[in-house]
Amino acid sequence: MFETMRRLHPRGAANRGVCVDGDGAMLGPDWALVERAAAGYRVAQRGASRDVQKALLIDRDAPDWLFEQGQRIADALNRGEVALAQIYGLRIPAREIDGGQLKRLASIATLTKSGFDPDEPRIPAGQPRGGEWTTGGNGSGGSDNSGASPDSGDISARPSGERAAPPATASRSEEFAPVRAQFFDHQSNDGANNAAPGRGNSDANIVPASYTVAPSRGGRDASSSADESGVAGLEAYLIEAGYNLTPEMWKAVRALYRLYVTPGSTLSSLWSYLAENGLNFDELPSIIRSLFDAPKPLAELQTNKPPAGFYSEAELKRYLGDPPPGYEWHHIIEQNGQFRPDLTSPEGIRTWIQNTANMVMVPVIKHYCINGIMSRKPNGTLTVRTALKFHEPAFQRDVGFGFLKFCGVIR
Amino acid sequence: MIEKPGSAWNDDRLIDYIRKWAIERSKCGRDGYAANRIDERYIFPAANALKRRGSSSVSKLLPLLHHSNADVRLAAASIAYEADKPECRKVLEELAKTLNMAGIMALMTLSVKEGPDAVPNPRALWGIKE
Repeated sequence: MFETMRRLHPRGAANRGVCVDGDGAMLGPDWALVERAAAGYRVAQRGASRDVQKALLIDRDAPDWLFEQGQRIADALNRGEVALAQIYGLRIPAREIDGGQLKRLASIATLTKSGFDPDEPRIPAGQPRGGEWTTGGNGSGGSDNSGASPDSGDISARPSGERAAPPATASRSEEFAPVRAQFFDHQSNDGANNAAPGRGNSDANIVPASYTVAPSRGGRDASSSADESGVAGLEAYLIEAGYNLTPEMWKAVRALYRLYVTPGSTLSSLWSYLAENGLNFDELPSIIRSLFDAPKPLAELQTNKPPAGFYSEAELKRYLGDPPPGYEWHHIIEQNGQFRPDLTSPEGIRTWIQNTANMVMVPVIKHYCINGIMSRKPNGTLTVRTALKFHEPAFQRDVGFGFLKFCGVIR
Repeated sequence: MIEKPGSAWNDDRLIDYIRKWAIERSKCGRDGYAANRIDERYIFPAANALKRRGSSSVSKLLPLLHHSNADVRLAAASIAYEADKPECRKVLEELAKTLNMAGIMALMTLSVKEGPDAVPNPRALWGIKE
């Protein structure tokens, strides 16, 4: 009997099995079968789930068994039935994932995060735009997302034209591999979880998905300039969030980000870049324009609505509505993974976390910068994000203000 | 080709390597991801190599507490904290007074080393007003 017993694993780098918790369901440390998003829990792409099912040698007659199990988990989590979701998780026969399988999962996770869906057909070679994926732009070609729709709960379900493009070549996906590890380090923050369709990305510079692969930076090796890791992660962050840019705008994003993070940089250096490159500010996409916003008083970046607290992020976000284009809602006190009773009790959540006073509108690129600070490791193991959670709410809030000030969001 | 710390390296070479990469880290500014990469690829492995050799090796970092670069002082105080707590704490508290990456990391290093109750109030340190 004990030979067939399974257990759930805790989330994190040491995860060698199935984890089901309030943030979703993970297989191994890297691959999310179910993720929490602003609109609820969503299951991974059908094609990726099929690949994972194969990689884990899950012996089921139905090739989509894992995808369907993910849907059951997502449905249970959406109903608040975590225990039932965990029971579904226990039914996934992945007891101890071995090294080879972990690598395969990480690779699938990388491709998934960059928008790759193995089910999606490509334009045949030899034709104009041959090899490109058919989704996006005018939507011609009709990617087979196996019935996925915005309501289906499938992560791959995004409105046509908003979906990030896949890596163009195998080498591109390899290039994403080291980025992915960093990306996961900050996946639990609200910014990453906001990756939902329709998030302030209706700019003129958003283009058909076929153009969205960030142009090559001419080779990146481990010993090249250190800031590449931040730049590459930013690309993944924006693609994940559905911001599809022209090659010219990708170039601008990278250059402006580098200028923005440079010690002692000022807004004037960003303006100089535009002037030197003949770029018209008004024609830039909102995610770039918002980087130019000078630090503001906190009150200007919070809602005008009456103060209110809620028991869930979904309720709070409904109350707040969408942030302006180029901005994202940011929780000053981290919402995920808190363990202090004063922040995990329903009253604590309502008072400190899912509260209008804890929400601030942050330019997307500056939000990414805050996530980077939160992912640093003061002692080599604990991240800043985790270390903060040992502190009382007021301390966490004050440090959160410090991050906002340091990143030029508030003054 | 970047050299990696190995058992053939003596303490001085490891310390110089930490100093050099801490200076590189200080150029990352607001880019926490780039700073993390330097930590994980260069500074932490060298720090771990020093720690494995014992406290006398780690103590050789203490002169860097007076280095002109804030990130070098931060690296020295974080890695050699147990070797001279009062002196390292003083350096971290001083660094934490400035709201920049080194200051934030100094505050959080104190939090990790000493626990949440022993950390200065960020509101007072950074002039936070609501």
